[in-house]
Amino acid sequence: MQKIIIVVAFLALCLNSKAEGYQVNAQSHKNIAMGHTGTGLSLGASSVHFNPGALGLMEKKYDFSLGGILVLSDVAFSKQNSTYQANTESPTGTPFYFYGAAKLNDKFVASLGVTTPYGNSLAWNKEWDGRYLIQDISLKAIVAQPTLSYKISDKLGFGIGAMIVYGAVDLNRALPVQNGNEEGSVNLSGSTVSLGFNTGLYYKVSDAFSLGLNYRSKVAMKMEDGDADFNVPASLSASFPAGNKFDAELPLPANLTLGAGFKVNDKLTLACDLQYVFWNAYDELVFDFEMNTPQLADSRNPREYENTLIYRLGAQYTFTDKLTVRAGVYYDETPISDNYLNPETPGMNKVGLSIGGSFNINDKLSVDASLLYIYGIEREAGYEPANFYGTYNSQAFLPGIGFSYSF
Amino acid sequence: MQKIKYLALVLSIVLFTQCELDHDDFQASSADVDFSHFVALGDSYTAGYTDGALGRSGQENGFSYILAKQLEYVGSEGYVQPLVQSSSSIGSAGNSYYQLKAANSSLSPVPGIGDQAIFAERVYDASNPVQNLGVPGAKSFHLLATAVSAEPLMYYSQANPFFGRFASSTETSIIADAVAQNPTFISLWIGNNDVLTYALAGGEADAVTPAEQYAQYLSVIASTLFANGTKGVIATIPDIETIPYINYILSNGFLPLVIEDDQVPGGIRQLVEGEKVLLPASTLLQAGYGQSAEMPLPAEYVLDLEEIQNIKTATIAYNQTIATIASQYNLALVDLNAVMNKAHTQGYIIDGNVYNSTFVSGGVFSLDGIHATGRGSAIIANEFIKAINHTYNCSIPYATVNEYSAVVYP
Repeated sequence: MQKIIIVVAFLALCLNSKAEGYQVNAQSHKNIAMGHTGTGLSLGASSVHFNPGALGLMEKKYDFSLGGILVLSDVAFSKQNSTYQANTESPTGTPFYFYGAAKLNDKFVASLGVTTPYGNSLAWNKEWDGRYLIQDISLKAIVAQPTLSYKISDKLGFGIGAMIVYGAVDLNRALPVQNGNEEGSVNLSGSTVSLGFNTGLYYKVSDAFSLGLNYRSKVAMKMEDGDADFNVPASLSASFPAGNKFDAELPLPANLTLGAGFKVNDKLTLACDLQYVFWNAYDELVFDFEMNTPQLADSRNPREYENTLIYRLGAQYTFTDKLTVRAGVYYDETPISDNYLNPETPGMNKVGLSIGGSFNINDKLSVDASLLYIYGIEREAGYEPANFYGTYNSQAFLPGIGFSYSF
Repeated sequence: MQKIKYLALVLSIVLFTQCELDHDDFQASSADVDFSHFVALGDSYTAGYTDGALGRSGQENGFSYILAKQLEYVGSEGYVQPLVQSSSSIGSAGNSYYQLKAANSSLSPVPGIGDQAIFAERVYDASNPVQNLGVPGAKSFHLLATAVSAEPLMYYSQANPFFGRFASSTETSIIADAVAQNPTFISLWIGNNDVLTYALAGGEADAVTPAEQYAQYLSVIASTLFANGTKGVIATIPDIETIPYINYILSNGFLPLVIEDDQVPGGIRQLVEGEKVLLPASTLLQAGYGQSAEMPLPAEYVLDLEEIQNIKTATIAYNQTIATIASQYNLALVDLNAVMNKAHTQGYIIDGNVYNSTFVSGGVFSLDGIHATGRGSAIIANEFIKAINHTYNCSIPYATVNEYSAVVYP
């Protein structure tokens, strides 16, 4: 348990979104390396996130894993009918994960996961042309998930966990009021704790073939009394009162994933996942200000996200007792339609290519690493409510390293 | 551990060779239109007059300059402006730029004292002729004018010091200075002052240029500039009711003000709905004018229904002439009247900012309530670009509106 405490104390990190919308699909190196499959596999403690049902059939007595990822991302914008171009200057994101699972008896497994499955950390230049829509945003969500899994039979496992989600948002927008050479701006920040659940069934059809079904619920991140700090010319300060507060709600969407695993032989395992994301929960983003003035109305930002599918394929090959290598690919659809593409979350269809491996230092300890390259498919679209259109390109590299310990 | 080191090495190589992201580069095309020598003719809007005065910052945020900068993507070889040589400014009333000042919990534009030395500047250089031939105050016939009075003999370059600064000679005319430099592409936006000078005086001074005369002047101007096949762009005249100077005071609804009118017995009457109270009346209204028979609002601050009708009729006729000229010479036609109407009624949303004609806060008009801000000028320049692209099938990139100057708050 000491390990858990150390890891929990280690959480003062920021995140970065590299899946579509503001999901971060980087929850375990073994899974990342296999195209982030794993709902139909039993890859150890990471099943806390991927499918708590699979832990019901856990063989080891204890299983721990933890890891971190660097997200190096770049988004390029070319304005429509214009020579104007811009690139993001986003800070490096650092999602992380920790899992620990322990067999209580023959039937029950208790586990805990700490993950960062949602987030967005994006920064454009402060003076860029889309500054009235967004200058920079940092959205963080850290999920602590105590979980209980149950072995229904030797073939069937069930698990359910409570997701306790700490969420925080901090964003800056420019305001079109000029004071000398300085333009006005607003900073909106706040944090909240919300709840959800994660449940799954795992069915071992045969020694070679396994199936999994996982449902992670929506988490409604309700922000109350967030701080709205306006920086405006002195003569307008009455219109933008100091010490203003806001309420807002950001839904973290539900996910339903069907996965399958297939052992081709002793060395080769294949996996595929079909992940359905209920993005339609994100209809609009409203900043409801405590103090309104004729110049300061509530900010209503339509989003109109649509549900999407993510298609994932992965493979694992055991070279020797010491070395396992993995590779995978996925295709992630954007939930954002052509007239609601906002530079705050510049979504596009994405292809992910991943490799990685595990090196067993001894019977108990292994080092896991992965590298994910995400290629965004060029998209010409815009945000109609702000009449801001252009062509977006993006790419990201996510290298990461971690450890697994089981006995 | 060997493997880990190897993996770390591979990872760092991949990271440092991270490839450059693609951009979708704009493909500019002149479609064989010769934009190499661009000249703009017009009035204060073309000159870059803003916040009640002419100064360098306005000239560098004026619509013709913004347009010229975008034309560089399709072959323009530069745009010489008669730049004010200092950082000061001068308006037609001897004032400097208006600045927004806070007084009694409200904001109002306050002019300073203009720099008369600007009128004494001589910015003509024969080897580098001025291409921005916008002259504040110019009406249609002023483009053709050499001498404006015979006794005593006075030339337009002497009568209008804004032209005198850069006229090639005392005896020249604006159009002669344009033709002399063999322009390959011309912008022409003239006629605002043919109604506006009268309107701004409350109909108590000056006169509306009769529509037939305007048609004759414009016909001579157009044949001089375009008869040889030179391509160009021409713009219509906005309805005066779209500008804050005319519409702002009663924008929250009609007020039954007491006004002077020497046509009625007693010389005073009540304002009638539809009549316009001009922007400079705001200080008088605050001082109590217009509230009683003892202190009626003077007639030069009011446009009555007949005056408004004269102006509207003339504007409609001018715009028909402009459209006819555009089709006669195959010029790109910018319907600035429609643009300003849209700014007045709906507004424009541009890159996350809302622009409309509201005085001070609307973003289109500068603090004089007549001329555009830098961003308003960029909106106008983009309408010119849209019309040129449409007429000549070229691809000129649009200006980035939010890069230009805006009203400055204290």
